[in-house]
Amino acid sequence: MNTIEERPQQASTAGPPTAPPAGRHAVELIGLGKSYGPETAVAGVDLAVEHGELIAILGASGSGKSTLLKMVAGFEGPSRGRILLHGQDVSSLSPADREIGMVVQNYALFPHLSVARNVEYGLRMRKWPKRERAERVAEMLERMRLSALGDRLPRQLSGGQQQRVAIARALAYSPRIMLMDEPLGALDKALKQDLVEEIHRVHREFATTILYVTHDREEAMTLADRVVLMRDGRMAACAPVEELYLRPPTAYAAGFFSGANLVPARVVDRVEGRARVEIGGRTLDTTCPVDPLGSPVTAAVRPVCVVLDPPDDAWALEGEVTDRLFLGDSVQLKLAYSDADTSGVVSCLLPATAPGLPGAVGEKVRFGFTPDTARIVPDDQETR
Amino acid sequence: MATVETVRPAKGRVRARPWRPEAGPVTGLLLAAPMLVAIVLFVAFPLVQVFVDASSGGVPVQRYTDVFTNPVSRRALATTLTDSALVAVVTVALGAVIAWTLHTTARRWVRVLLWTTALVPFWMGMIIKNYAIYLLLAANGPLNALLMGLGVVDSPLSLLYTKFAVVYGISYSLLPYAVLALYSVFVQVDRSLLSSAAVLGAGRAQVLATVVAPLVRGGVLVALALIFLLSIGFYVTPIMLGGLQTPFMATVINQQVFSLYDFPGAAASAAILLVIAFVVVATILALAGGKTLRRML
Repeated sequence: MNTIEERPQQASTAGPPTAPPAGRHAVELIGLGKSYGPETAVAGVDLAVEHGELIAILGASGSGKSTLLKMVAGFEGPSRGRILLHGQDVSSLSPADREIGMVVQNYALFPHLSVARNVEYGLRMRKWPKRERAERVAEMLERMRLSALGDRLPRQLSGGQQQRVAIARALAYSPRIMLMDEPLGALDKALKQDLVEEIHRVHREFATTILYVTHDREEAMTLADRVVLMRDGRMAACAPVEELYLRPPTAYAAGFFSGANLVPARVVDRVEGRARVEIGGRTLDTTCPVDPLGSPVTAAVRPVCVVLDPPDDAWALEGEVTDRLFLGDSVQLKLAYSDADTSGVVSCLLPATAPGLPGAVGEKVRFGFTPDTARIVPDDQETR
Repeated sequence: MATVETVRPAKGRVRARPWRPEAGPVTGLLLAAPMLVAIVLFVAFPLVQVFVDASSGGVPVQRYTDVFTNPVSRRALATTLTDSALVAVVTVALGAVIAWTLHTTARRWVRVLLWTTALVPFWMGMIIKNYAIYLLLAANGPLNALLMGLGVVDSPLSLLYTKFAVVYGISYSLLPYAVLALYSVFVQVDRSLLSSAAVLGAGRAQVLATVVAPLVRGGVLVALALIFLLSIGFYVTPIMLGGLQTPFMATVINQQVFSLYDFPGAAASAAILLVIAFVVVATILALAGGKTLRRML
């Protein structure tokens, strides 16, 4: 486990030693922004990453997450702001001088070099002596379970093996941080799960700081300590992963990260300091102490918090099944409801064995939301 | 409930003839026939006829040795080969810069400009191209005017009728071929390899040397062969820009045919040029390796 510190002295020409300087962040982004002409790709991002943290940068395409990563890597010069790695300002350094490791979606392994030579590449560029290179490569191959494949060419490897080579190559020279750009983007679901576990193990064993860019919230959820949610070039949210999932700060975060239904509601009362809202003529207790009475708000309810045939008529809505997807252990329903002044569609996720589960599209159902699971979320549509 | 549209029967005739996704051998042969006839008539037959003509009457072997012993044709052969080798190197070097920039630049206008530059020689007639270069290089032409204006030279350089003029002219004509051939090779170099190498610590020159060069080596060799082959057949440019003092083989063959009426001799000269071309191609393809070929085909 201590191999990260076993870095040969002659290799430390670029940048400070790998041991984290006390009191400094692994990564610090200060007002980092990028514009292409009048277009703003990234607008003033501030972020401090602790040593050994895995930060998922999550966002839809065009949200600026890739541009952000490119700036940290050095492929794009920032228009504004600074990038600090281990306290050193690297904003104007070349990618080669930043001492970072990177794993990209197609792994970008050198097709003309063997696995071992791929892993060795960064060490050769750092002019490590031959013997130490060989030792380090052997060690990395062993730790990434690639020892038997050292002489193979990349195209002779499976996708999972290629990813392990890419990680070994990126970590061989003990970079200050590791950047991962959608490393699982092009894979099928079963393989994805294996590789997620692999990345999790690498993060644990190598104790590397990782910035992990993805558009897949499940990847972000499984891997990350903290999630940075990007939207329109801005940081829409930044919070520990469970916090963000269970208590999304904004409607966008609730929809994109928690997959919650966003239901228009109106605050009608306060019970023990928390808001009671009205949805489709029924009232519902929420977990949030907000808003003046009577104001229109958005309530976020995750699909698992929708129940069928609620015992209490006071919060039961009448709806119709408009779509039904069988997902194995669970069934996803789309329920359309309408009322005098509101109408909408909510998505709900029920166990496949739930009693009274509607069997077909078109069936009428009574449904409601589990009390105290709804959250009032501020509408952030206008941040555009 | 969702309504299901009733399926209406399709209008028109209903065909019951069996159909297979791949065309049968007769159809294939019929489709290929015009091309096969053209190849036999215009490629295979003349190729054989060249060697037949060279051997007709007299002492066959002597015709071939004549090409090397006759000072005129020997000099022409040497000029053709050395100039074409120069052309190949110059054109591939220029073409590589253009093709690589086309592959890597993010700027649209650079791409448009370079494609235009690279392809313009394609759109001009051979005579027009050479005449333009002739005017450019003339003693009172713009290039000499520029050199004298800058004070580099005192009197006009004689640029025309030199090796330089010939290599310049042929290179200009062949640049599009080099760019297209090299571009097709370069686009196969994944740009993420370049950024990965950079992150791994390689400077720009190191990226070129350790990643790009090994990946494009075969393609560059093939481009060199292509340009060399096209160049040794040039006729107009060596005459217009090289004059009659430094003729190419094509000029000599032309004289043999139209001035000396020495058809067997012309055939022998052509055959030797052909054999040299074949040897050069075979050597370069062997160097490039079968892998490169399979990737290009």
